[in-house]
Amino acid sequence: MTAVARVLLVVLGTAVPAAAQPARTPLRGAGPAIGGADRAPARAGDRAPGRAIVQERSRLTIEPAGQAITRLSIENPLGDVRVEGYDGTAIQIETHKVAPDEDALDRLHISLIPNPDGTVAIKTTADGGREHQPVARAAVRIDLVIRAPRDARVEALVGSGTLEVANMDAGGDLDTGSGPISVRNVQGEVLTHSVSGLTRLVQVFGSVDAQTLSSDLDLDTIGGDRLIASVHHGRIDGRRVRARDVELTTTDGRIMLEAEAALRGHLVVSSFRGDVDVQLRRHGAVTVRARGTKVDLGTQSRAQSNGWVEAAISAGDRALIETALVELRAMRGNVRFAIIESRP
Amino acid sequence: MTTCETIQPRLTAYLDGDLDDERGSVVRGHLRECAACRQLAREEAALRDGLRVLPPVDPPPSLWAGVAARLAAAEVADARKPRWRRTVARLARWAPWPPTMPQYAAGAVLAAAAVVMLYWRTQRADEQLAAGPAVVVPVKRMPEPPPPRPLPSEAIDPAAVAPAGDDVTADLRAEPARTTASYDQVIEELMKLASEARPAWGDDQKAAFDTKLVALRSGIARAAPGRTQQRAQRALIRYLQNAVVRDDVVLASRGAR
Repeated sequence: MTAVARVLLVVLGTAVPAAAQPARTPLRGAGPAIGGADRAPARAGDRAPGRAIVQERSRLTIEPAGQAITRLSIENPLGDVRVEGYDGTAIQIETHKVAPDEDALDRLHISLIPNPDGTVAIKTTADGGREHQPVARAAVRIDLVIRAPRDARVEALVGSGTLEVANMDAGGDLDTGSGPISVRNVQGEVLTHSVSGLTRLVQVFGSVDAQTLSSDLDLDTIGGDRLIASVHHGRIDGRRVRARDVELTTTDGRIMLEAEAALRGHLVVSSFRGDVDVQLRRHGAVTVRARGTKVDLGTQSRAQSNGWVEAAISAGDRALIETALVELRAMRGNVRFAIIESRP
Repeated sequence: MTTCETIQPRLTAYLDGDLDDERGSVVRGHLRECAACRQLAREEAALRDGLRVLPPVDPPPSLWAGVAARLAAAEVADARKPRWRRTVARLARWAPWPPTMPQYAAGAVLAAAAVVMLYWRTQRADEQLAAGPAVVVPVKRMPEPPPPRPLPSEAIDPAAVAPAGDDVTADLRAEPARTTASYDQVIEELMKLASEARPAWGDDQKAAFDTKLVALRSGIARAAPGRTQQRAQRALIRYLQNAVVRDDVVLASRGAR
């Protein structure tokens, strides 16, 4: 379907033009072909016994017309979203709708709006109206699995479902309510925000800005110019972090970081009510200043009159301008710092 | 004399073999002479043959779930009706013919006339009793109507059916407000911590904090509800966190967006 060329509003299952209307057939045998939709009662074990549900699966491919697809905007408050980058140019969307009955299933819609500027917007909704029997939100869901060109930027909003982005090269802006966020093997600027969803970033090579209100944040193999992460209630765990500027902050939760200090880099790790534990691999000179209920810098340090404890780890002939600055604070917690590897 | 108009309505019965010999013979005779009716009969026969070779269709299990849910909902609605409406409906079912609106109206007029008559007789009785001893008539309290029957548990998935206010659509509409409220709660918590930290700040820090706070709060107030407003709230949270945790009061939060 050359939807982009026609700037076509497509609503799966409702307003798809006749030529593109996916057939709704009972699920039999092999999976559906691209562009088809299958509707069937759920398999046993999909839900608790005794609860009848129906589900519909469909697939759709959107080919670029003229301009490449450069941005993917997704809003799915009704379920999970998984975006995987691949080497193709089209967007392939697999949808999976689940509802307690046919009427409720018919209320669930997925709209695709391809724009001429290279943006494809995907949005899920549930019809309302008095004529419908009320259905609890927890009883319906729409899950989306999207294969997108690697160089498309992803902007996604999810409610309580899981948001996963993998193998993309243009970063993304990811937002969830209580749903967890998982980012893996992504390049480019990545912004994540979650109210209470566990946020996990693995193999992200680009600037990162992550913020959660009440959930943990897990960082593994982060490389880029800048890493800014803040958590209100929750922990931050970082491993194999290498960014020139690192700022990790929690109000109420410990921070554990294993990082590599870049030359002339800044690393600021602060917690109001939590311990701060930093292990550093260094390439050059490092100056550490720390403040906390109890401070252990693992090397010779001197206490200042203003409450700070400072230590300088030299790197031979390296110029002072290349010194990395490390600032650690635990207002109502302990600070521990250690150099675990030195490469002068 | 047989005409197409009299034969065509009987074609279906003829093809079904439901006509007796005499009538069947009449239809057969007409078909021999009339090409139009012959064609019609041929098409109908072909349609029947086509339908016959179709595989049997089993209704999906969800169909019964839907029917059961509707039945249960109808029972609930019925149970919530006032007693008099249920009684009228029951009487209507016993009637040899379904009452029409004029008959309901006539019934209402008769009932009204009966009430007027009763009132008139009572008034007269009161007048007669006025001179005699007072009679206390015990008032029998009507029993409370029974509560609506609980829904049969097998008919409706309790997790699936929600009160109208908790419907998925209403829930989705309310979500941005819930998220905004979560952010507001965190802002409140951080403001408390900031007020605790404030005495240790210098005058320039206090002034910078107040100025920044006003700017960020007005940004929230100006922002459209939803994601834009939440973005502004996140900026304020970042700033407050940096002020409280890092004493970074003067510098604007670099991470705020």
